[in-house]
Amino acid sequence: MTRMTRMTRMIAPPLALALPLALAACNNAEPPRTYDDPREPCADHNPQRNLYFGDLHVHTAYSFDAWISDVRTDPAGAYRFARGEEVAGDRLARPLDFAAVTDHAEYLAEVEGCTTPGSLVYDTQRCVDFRAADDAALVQFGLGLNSETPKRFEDLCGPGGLDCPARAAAVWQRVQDAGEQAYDRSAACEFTSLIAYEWSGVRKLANLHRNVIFRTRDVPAAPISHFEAPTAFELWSRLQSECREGLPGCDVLAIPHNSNWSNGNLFVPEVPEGSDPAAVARLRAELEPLLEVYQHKGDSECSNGVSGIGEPDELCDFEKLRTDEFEDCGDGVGSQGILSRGCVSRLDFLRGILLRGMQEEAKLGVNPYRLGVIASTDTHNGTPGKVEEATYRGHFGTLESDPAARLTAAIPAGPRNSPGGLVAVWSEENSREAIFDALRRREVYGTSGPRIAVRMFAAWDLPNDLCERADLVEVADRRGVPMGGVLGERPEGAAPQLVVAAQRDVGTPEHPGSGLARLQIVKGWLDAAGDGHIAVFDVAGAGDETSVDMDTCEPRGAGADALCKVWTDPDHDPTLPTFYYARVIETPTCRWSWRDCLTLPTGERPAICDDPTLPRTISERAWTSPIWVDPS
Amino acid sequence: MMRRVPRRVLSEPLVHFAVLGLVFFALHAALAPGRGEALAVDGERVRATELALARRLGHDPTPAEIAAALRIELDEQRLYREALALGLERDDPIVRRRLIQKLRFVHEDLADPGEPDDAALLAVRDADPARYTTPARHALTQVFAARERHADPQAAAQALLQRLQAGVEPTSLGDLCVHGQRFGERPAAAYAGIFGAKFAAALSDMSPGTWSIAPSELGWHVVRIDSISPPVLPELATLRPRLRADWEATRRDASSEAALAELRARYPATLIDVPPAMATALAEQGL
Repeated sequence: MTRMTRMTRMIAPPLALALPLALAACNNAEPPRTYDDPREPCADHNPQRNLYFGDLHVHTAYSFDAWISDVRTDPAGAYRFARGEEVAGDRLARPLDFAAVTDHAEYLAEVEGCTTPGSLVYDTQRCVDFRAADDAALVQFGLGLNSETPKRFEDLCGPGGLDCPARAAAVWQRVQDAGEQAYDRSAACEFTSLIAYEWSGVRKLANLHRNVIFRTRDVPAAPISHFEAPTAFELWSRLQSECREGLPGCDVLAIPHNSNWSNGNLFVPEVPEGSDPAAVARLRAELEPLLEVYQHKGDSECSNGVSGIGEPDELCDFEKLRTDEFEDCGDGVGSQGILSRGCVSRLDFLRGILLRGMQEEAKLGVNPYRLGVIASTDTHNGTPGKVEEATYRGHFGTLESDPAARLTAAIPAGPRNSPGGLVAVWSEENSREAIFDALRRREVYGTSGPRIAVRMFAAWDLPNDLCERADLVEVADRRGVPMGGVLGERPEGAAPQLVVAAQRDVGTPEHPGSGLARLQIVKGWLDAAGDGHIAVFDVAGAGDETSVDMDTCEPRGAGADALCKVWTDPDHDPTLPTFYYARVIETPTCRWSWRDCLTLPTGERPAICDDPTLPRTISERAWTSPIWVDPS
Repeated sequence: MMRRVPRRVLSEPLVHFAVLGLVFFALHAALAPGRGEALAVDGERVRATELALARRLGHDPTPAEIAAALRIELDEQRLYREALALGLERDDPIVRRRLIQKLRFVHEDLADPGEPDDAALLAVRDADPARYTTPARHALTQVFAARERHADPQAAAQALLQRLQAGVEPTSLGDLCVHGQRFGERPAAAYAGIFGAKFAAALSDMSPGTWSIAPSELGWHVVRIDSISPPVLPELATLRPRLRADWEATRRDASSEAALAELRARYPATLIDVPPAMATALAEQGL
């Protein structure tokens, strides 16, 4: 990789090409920007923040479970796809602004060795089985991640085999090189790549996965995988010592995902023997400020049928992989979540996790789960941002490349899988530092695919006419905090006020976006006894006034272009810890599966097309990061 | 797909994870080698099955378990042979697609990456300058008249235009837009994503520093261009990593294309009753 001369400070020169109008006065008033990862200053800089869309969960042929599905797009190809170029016969209607390729860090060396003719292990039985996608080979690769004392395969990485740590570092270098090729270091700031990987630990077949995202090109020489750090605590400790404290310029965060597959295991607080619980909570809060609530393996915001996370909420019946009668884990944990089995916990969903975080804070003085919200795809096709229902091509290579195959597939839930979503970031500019810092301060949100724009602020005193004013952001920035923040000290007698403003996705000429049906505020709080409560408020929008023609998928009626509300919590008790987040719901559209059914002649449709438990429509949405109001 | 998995395997808790592999398994079972081999079980084969089974099960298999596994293997070979004998692979779109894909991978892998010099990289850039050109970017201020708030948003925008031209501060005017009023330098595609293609297209006709109105998917806007950066074809130093990757991709494509050309020569198509114009067109395509 070619590297520019390292500069610790880079002063913004005058925008040489800009016309000398000096009209963007607020831009000029800002102090010069500095970059830890040297680049030209971004000309898109905007102190009131621009909205950028990206995907922070992307697998390519470097992931064992993608290669085995015949996916051959490499990280460089995935970044080209994100930038809008045609790759493997497909292209995005709208390029992304940023992306992170997050291949499974485990088996980077083994996959390379097994798929490179002439390597020391190419002819081993395990590699032959792997290339043949033998079920036993996949089982063994999968089970290797389900151990508290994981060991690399002796036949691949033992004596006479590969130097797996060295090969993994070499593949990791290629991942970094691909990120370097894709990062636009010019003033145009067209695209940001973030160097990243997935830590893929599993326990009792319950999902514990995290995506590890670095701020700059200064990253450890090899990814810290499940083999080096078998538990999440070891992962955080090593990221702290080997990146944040041990490597100049390095900063990192880890984003857990698919808590819906974790049987409570991902967010049950765990304190290793001899550790201080508050120190562990602080470390976790530092390194894990976000949760990926939605992706191709379903929704982790909320669920009906689990105790302790509020009254039934019909909009929680959204993109669920499991439709069976499940057992409630209660205060315990279960197993086999990645097989869509075992009990379901309130800690599998954002609402329960946020409440639990406040309960931990009451005990420890630190909230380990002050989590912002993102969504991404988890594509295993190397196709970041491929989220449209109308153009979905499946997630597993050639196995899901036609409608009948997608509708009858089984991994992990075939027709119940989803194209996944996007992460939206309010950032001053499209540079690595600015995007990462927005992620860290949680001024980010997730969508189920559409590019809905939504802002939320909280303050103790907002003008009631804010939704009628063009300077909403300026006023709200001055008086309060944006999504992801913690509202400051309460003036005597004041109640928290929120302003939420959303704008629909205009879409593309081929696929116009949908209107907005509803704006909701979800409130969570602990009562005096420390028990958690959830309430959902409809604050704007006409609700379910539109429908879809199920024969053509044409919408009947349109939603709103924009929804906005200044809302005062009528029941806020200043002595109780509280959080608020917003949900923006689009008018319903045809789900990808029903679109696939419609492409097949009536007599040739698989049975799933007539299954009443598989929704034919989808109410796409955005979920904002919360704002917290601590007890005063 | 489920029926291809032996009941005994499904009953093994250790291999429940195998559910994830079922689809692959079925596909590959149908393609496994074995057409010409004798159907024989010798000591070596028993040992190979035993080893594979031990890995799969995590314990030493019993003779009964080995025998059951061998029976499955043998039966699948028999089914495979018979399927081939019956020609079931023919006209099967999945088999066909997979074989084509495998051969394409083989062709791409034949490319020798080598190392490009600067001239080779510049040639990649200059062969398709549009691809590498950073598009023009506009910084602007916009004052919004929402179609949901005005019966005639264009007239509302005209009224706003007059006030702006009279020197009224934009921050005190117009409707709420979640994106705000001021934008740094962004390409037309970014504005198309926020306001729609009509708005983005209107920018190219605007004179910097003066107010004018433009339609969007959401209403009308009074827009002032604050600065413009023209399109730029970046220097080699900026583009090097991208050009290097594209150069490699070009080599892979060339390798693929060379292999195809060889196949076209080896398997020429006979033209029957094809009009001369079409025959000429086909010849021009090298077919």
